[in-house]
Amino acid sequence: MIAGSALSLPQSFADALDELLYGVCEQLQLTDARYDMAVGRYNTLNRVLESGESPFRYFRPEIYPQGSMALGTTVEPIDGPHDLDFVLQLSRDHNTVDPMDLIETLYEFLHQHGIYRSMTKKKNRCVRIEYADEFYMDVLPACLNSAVGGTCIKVPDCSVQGWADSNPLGYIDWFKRRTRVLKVRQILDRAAPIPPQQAVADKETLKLAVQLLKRWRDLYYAKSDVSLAPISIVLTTLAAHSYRGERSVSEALASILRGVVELIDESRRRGEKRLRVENPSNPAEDLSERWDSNQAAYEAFESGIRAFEARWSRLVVRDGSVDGELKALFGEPVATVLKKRAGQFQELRSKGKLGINPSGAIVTGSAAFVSARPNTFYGEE
Amino acid sequence: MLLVPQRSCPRGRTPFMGKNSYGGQRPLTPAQQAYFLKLTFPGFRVVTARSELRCVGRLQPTATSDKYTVELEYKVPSRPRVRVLRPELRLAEGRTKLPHVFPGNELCLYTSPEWRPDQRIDQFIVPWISFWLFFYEVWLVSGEWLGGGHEPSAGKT
Repeated sequence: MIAGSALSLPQSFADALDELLYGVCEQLQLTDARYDMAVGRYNTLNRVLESGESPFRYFRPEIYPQGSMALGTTVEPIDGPHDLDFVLQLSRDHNTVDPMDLIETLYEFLHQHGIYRSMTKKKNRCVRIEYADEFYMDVLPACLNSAVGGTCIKVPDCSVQGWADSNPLGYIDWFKRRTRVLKVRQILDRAAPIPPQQAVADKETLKLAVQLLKRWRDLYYAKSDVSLAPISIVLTTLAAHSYRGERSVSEALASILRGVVELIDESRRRGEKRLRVENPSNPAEDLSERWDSNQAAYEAFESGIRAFEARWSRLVVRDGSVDGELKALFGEPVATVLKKRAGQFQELRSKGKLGINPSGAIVTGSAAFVSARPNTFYGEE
Repeated sequence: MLLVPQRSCPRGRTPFMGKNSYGGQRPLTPAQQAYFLKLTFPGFRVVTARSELRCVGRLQPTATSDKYTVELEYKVPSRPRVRVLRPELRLAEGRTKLPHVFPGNELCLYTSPEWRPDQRIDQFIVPWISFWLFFYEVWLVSGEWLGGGHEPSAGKT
């Protein structure tokens, strides 16, 4: 009976755990200010790449976000820069373009440009714009793959001095289907806007589970060796593949982790050296190829996921006492959520709007069996 | 729904209490306190002896909290002594003592005269225990006590 109060006090363990996890995901989102800044920078880059001085203007460039920004699975980094990925797609078949020329042209153009001059770096497949405030924007130049058609593209790959296959839009479509919200992709008309950031409450469960998985990854490997951490697209693909449509985020995470461990086990039974994570929008692309040359990274992935699965499957049946374990898994955002809730409790309590039920659970006024009287905890903090 | 006798007893006083010699209401007897405790918290075990009361009960402040077994000992008209029996209370990282406790880790739940012996323990003290436990758990992960309170010697940590 608390008008206008956003405080929710689920009485079942499963609901209360989900409520905490929603809060954690909220903390993991890009802040609105950061999000708006990213959109602003994306729009500026768009204008530059479509402007009269751009070498790409006659190739009808389409610029669109890919990766976590497009998927709605961004996670605030623990420390270090936030990188956002964009595709600069030219309406030309790749057979008519030299891949090394393409990436070099993009690099040179941005490097000569007044705005980006000192901020550009050429990477293996993209040109990176580094902003001073811990923000990277990776621009991936691309051409059409007319032979395959659809949303398939070719991107320059400096390590092989040639083209590599990619299909970011196909991937986004696949991921969205996996979240069970099938939206017909609109025909790209010039630059596709970055989708507005969803509030956590409106987010599909799979996206939240991916955010938690990525956050666990960031924290877990920061403690051992960051360079061994599995990359986001591998985790995201495995999660979306193993997701069974649960509505509860804690259950979704449990079934995702179980599913990934099963995939690892199956791969072992087949005698494979490692799990192969294919790009669902382009099975020819092995998203996990890095593991071929880095066995230690695969072993770190396997032991990390197994450990997380074991901890999580215990946590979801624990029926209480989860704060410390959640903080160990997801870090500071857990403390932030608990403090935020404590602040709300304290405020409502001072207004006499909270009470307890016969099991001692704190409840809001209408559900209270005993309403709590004002008190002042005596003694030192 | 259990009947809460407090409805007809504004501010937690029972109607059959008369004024006592020290200007307040007459203290509730241990038997009366025990009656109310068992009425409100049927899961509590309460034993009484002439002027004393001992009560053990389990409280879980939120569905994701620990379940605490707490003990309340009351000797009329002194303050009820409340201790957590299980699980053992722990310290937040970098802290050397619990917040808001008396020596022996008895919980400091109120500042006089927020509770008086003529007031019901089930209505006053027990909800405060739940809140103490709730804020203790937040303190444990964050190192911050957000439940407010009175600090007799501010400045110490």
